[in-house]
Parts: sequence; structure tokens; C-alpha cells
Amino acid sequence: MKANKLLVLALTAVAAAGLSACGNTTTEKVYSDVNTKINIWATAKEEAVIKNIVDTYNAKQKDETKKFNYKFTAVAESDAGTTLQKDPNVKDAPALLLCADDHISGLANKGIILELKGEFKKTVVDNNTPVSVLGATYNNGIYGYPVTSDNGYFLWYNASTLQENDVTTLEGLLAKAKSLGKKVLMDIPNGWYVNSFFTSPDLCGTDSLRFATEKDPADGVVKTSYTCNWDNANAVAAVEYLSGLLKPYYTDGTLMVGSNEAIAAGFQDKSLIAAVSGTWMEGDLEKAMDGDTLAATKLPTYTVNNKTIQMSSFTGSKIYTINKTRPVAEQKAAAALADLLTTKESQLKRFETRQSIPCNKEAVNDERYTKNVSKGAKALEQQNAFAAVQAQSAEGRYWDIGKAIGQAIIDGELGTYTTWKDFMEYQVGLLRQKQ
Amino acid sequence: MRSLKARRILGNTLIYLLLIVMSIIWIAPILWLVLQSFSGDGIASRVRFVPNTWTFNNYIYLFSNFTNKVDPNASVSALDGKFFTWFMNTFIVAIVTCIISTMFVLMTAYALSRFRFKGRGIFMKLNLILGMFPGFLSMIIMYWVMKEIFHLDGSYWALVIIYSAGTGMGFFISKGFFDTISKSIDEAAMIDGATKSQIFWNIILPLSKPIVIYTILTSFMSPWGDYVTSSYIVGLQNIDQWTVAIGLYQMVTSNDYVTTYYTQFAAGAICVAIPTTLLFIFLQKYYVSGVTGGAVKG
Repeated sequence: MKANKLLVLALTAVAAAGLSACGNTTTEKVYSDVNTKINIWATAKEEAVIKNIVDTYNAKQKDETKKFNYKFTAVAESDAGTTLQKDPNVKDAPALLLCADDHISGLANKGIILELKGEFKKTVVDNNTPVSVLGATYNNGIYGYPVTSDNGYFLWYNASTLQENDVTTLEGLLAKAKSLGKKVLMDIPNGWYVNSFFTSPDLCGTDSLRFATEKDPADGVVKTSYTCNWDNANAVAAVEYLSGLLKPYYTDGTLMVGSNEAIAAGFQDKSLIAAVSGTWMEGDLEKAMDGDTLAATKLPTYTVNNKTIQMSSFTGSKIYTINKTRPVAEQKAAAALADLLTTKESQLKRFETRQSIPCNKEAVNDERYTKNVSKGAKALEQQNAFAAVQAQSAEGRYWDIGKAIGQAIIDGELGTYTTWKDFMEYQVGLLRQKQ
Repeated sequence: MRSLKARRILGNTLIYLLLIVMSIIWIAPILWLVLQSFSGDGIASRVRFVPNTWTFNNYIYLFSNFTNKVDPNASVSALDGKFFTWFMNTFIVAIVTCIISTMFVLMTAYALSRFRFKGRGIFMKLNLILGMFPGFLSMIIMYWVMKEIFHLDGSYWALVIIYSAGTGMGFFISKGFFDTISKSIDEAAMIDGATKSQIFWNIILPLSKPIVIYTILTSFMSPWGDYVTSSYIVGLQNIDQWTVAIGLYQMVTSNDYVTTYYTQFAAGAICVAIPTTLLFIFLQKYYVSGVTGGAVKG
């Protein structure tokens, strides 16, 4: 009996020590210890970047015990978060993880990743672009170190056929394409692209679509609810106008829908002169140009009721986040390493090594970046000024509703509804339901 | 007489037309995949049937070890130079599983066909009921068993255990075949002093060639093509332990690679089909008699 009590006391003491140590994670900023091995999961391209930065750091660090010690494992950014969610204690689980920002909410919700507080939080918020910080945010907490805001879409076009002033307005672009007998592609029946018409700062605002997850006190189930104002009078007028504009072009084939392969094929056979897509197409498109010039720019504007509206987009970031199910020492070291890997200098180094677009405020304006930036990255950066943060805006339930709205825009079919107002109210109403 | 001939010609024409249409439907996807694997159009080839440019590079990519890269300017990818590793992993898993599970199946079938023991009937019925549940219902528990008991998570050897452990349950067809072999042969052997084991190895097995071949084929096929089990057991972080199914799936679905490896994926899919196609071509005659072998009791 006595032994049992002692055991309980001992366990409590250990637990308390663990907790207080946990508290310390967010106060001690530099913590590199050669005996603490940090497992890192990141995209394969990141390996060279980490090696370079850590080698430089370790070379400068005179104290042998204060060097970083890590093990790198290549995991795609799009899989890292979901893989860790399945089992945070998987063999060789990472202390430091590079994942897409839309994994943050799931990981944070399940209590797998560490929330940054105090100095750590301040550093992240002060040094990075607002869209990238939003990517690392969940329920007002910061859960990681933004690395790059490289996901998003803008307009690719054939600059041998189209002039710069042809691509400034949606109306002008489509009219020009039709007059040339060519095509323009935007995958409108797709939630990821259709928000472009609504989340503009000129229309509903980049924060007009937001979701929040919380435990419902009634049944204890975690539910998602959206705030969305895409059914306001201006948005309804805009969507009605857009459908009137786009449907005839879609019907006569000037406006195409489709994904990456259709874009690459269209640019190859010259039938397509402009397409809404992202940086991932740059290599394929450059190869497809065959003598023509490839260009990229922000999305065009459209004009409704004499008001010019800049088309918006979704943007996504990549975040270094820390697995809080790992031992405290590893968490501390991982936080220190993440901090090091996302400084201005590190982001510029990453840009030079693997063309990753920086999100550090100073790095974005640094000559080393601005002078060497690729066409796609530059256009994406322009477009990001009007972008909504996907990780904050949309999750599972949105995609089908976005798709339905996009489909209705191009074929003008409202199902059982007769007015756009009713249709949009119904769709937005579906989003607002708590489920 | 003439009308009979005319009707036969008409009937044959219709049947052959139908057969031609059906064979086009069946062959077209495979032909398309073969054409894709020789395409130099990158992702654009997905919307074409015949490639604009032809190349062997997709195959070279799969089997090059990247000490000499095909394209020295191409960016680094975790998938580069891994295909052969995945191919060998899958091959090892499939071969080892094939050997173990063929033994399990044939031995179970022999025991249930020749021996009468307490609980035999119940066992067979229970087995039938258990067999009705899809295997992936046990996914989560399998993961934990492999991780906590065998400490094999993240290793393809875990797959060997999972694939072969339950295969003994698939004894029905083999048992049906063994039942057709006259018991008097066993009795004759016993009179000559053979043990049960000797009867199995030296008499029953040589007489059951078709069913042995059939069992080998099916035991090889299921681990060779499996994605679900291998993906959750091995895990996406252990790239050197992947099977081809995981690797090929990642080539075309992971956001990191989605526009890059389409034609290489097609080439990979063709390579994966080669071993099974060869097996089938060489063992086809046995396969047919194996499938139908257990059906008729003589």
C-alpha cells in the first residue's frame, strides 16, 4: 500500500516536472543541444536547404554541445500533416514538421502540435507577411513558423498573342480570345477557383468566408460552422452579371474548364492563350511555348454596376510546426531550429536553392529575391495582395458548395430556384449550418 | 437451306461485331497506358491518345540511379531513383508471401480434406462466416499489432506477416480439389508405410499440379497489387520501404509531384504489369484447370 502511494507521488512529481518543462518550451529561445536529435519531416527539396543552414550555424557555434543534431526524412508537404495525424507517435516521429497550412487546424485541434506563445509568437507575427501568419493560425493561436506562401493561382498567358492591356479585364480578355478564335481556361466549377469572384477586397472581402471548429456543448461533437456573406446584394448582383458574361463564352467554347493537363495541352497546341493556374505549371508551360513567350500576371478585374472588382484567389503557405507529443527537449530544440530555418537569411537561401517564395517581410523586398524571382512567383506575389487564406476559409464542406456555385455560373442553371438571390442564399445557408 | 445459311452468317456477323466492340473497350485503356508511357509530352499527354513526341526517357527515369541524372537541371525529388527499390521491395514481399501462403493454404486444405477431427465442421462454417467480412475492417488493429507487438511498423516485412497470416482461410477451392483425389491412394500409401506428411508431399501434391499453380498465382497476385494495406502499414514517411503501389500512387496524386511524373507513372504501371502478365502467359493452362478443378466431384 505504502509502495503504491510512493509510486503515485513519484508519478505526480514526474508529471508536474514534465508540465513545467512544457511551459518553458515557449520562453527559452535558443536551445540547440547536440545530444537532442531532431527528427525532421519535410519535402525532399528542403534537405539541401536545412543542411546548408545548419552546417553554417554549427560551424559558427564554438561550443560542441550547442550544435544542432537532426535526422531528415523526405515527406511531401501535402502528406506530412495527415500522416502525423494518423499516429503522432509513429516510429521515428518528427519533432519538426514542414506541412501545408491546411493541415494546421486538424493537427492543432487534435492537440498534436505546439502553440507558440510570448516571444516566439511575437517573432512570427512581426516578421512574416499577414497571409502567411494567417496560414499558421488556428483559433487565434499561432502554431508554427511560416516558410513560404507558394500556393495560389493567377493568370498565365501567351505574351506573343496577348498584350499586357488585353489581360487587365475579364471582359476584355474573353472578347479578345473570341476574336482570335482562341480559348481561355479557368476551372470555375471548382471551389478552389470560384471564390475568386467573391473574396475580392472590392466585393465581399478576403475574410468573407471563414470557418471555425468547436465542440458542440449539446452533444460533445466537434462541429464546423462558417461565416459567409456571399449572399449580400452586391455579391448577388456580381454573380448574376458574371453568369450573363461567362455563359455565352462557355457555350461557344471560348471559356474552357479543366485542370493541369488541359492547360499544358492547350498551350502546346496553341489553342489556349490564357489560363488561371499556379506556379506548379511553370516548367510544363515553358516547355510547351515552342518559340512563343510565356507571361504571368495577377488575375484580371471585372466591372459590375460601374464598380471595378479585382478578382481574388486562395493562397496557401507551408509551415514548420512542432510535434508536442515528443519529449520536451526535442520540442525546444525543434522550435529553435524552426526559428533559425525561417529567418530572413534562411528564406533567401531557400529561394536561391529551390526557388521557394519567401514570406519574411524583409526577404520579400530584398534584392536577392526581387531581381531573380521567376515569372510565376512574381505574379503570385502580386495576386496574394487580393487573396483569401485557404486554410482559414475553407475545409471539407465548402468544396461541394463552391463547385455548385461555379457550375451554376457557367451554365446558368439554378435548379429549383428562379433568382440568383434565392440560389446564393440557399448555398450560403448550407455553409452556415453547424455540422 | 439458304435462309439457314444467311441466318448463320447474320448471327455470326452480329456476334463478331459485338466481340470487336467489347475488345476495343477492354484493350483501349491498356493501349492508352502503353502509349502514355512512351510520351514525351509531360502532363499534357493525359488528354491525348497518341503522343506528339515519343521517348524512352520515362523508362530510363524509372531505372536510373541518379548518379547520372537524365536531366541534370531537373529539380530534386524524393521519388528520383527509387522505383527499382520499390519494385524489389514488392517483389520480395510477393515472393515470400507467395511461398508462405501457398504452404498454409495447401496444408489447411489437405488437413480438412483428409482428416476427421472434433470441431472440423464448426471450424469450416466459422471460417466461411469470417471470410464474409472484408479484410480492411481490421486495418487499425493490424497497425497497432504490427507497431506495438512486432515493432515492424514502417517496414515491408510487416506486410509479409499480414498478407500470409490469414491466407490459410482461403482453402476452399484446394480442399474441393483434394476431395476429388481418391482416398484409396492414401490408403495404399499408408499400407506401404507412408506417414501423413509423406502422403501430402509425395503423393497428393504431385497429383494436384493445377491447384498448386493456381494457389501460387493468387498468392502472388494479391500482395503484388495491394495498395490499401501497404500504405497504412508502411507509411508515407518511409520511402525506402514503399511498395510499387504506394510509389506509383504518390507519383500522380501527391501535390508535390502532381504535374511532374505522369508519363513516368504510366511507364511504371507497364513495368508492374510485366511479371504478372508473364506468370499468366506461362501458367495459363494450369490456371484454367485449377479454377474449375475443385468444382466437379468425381
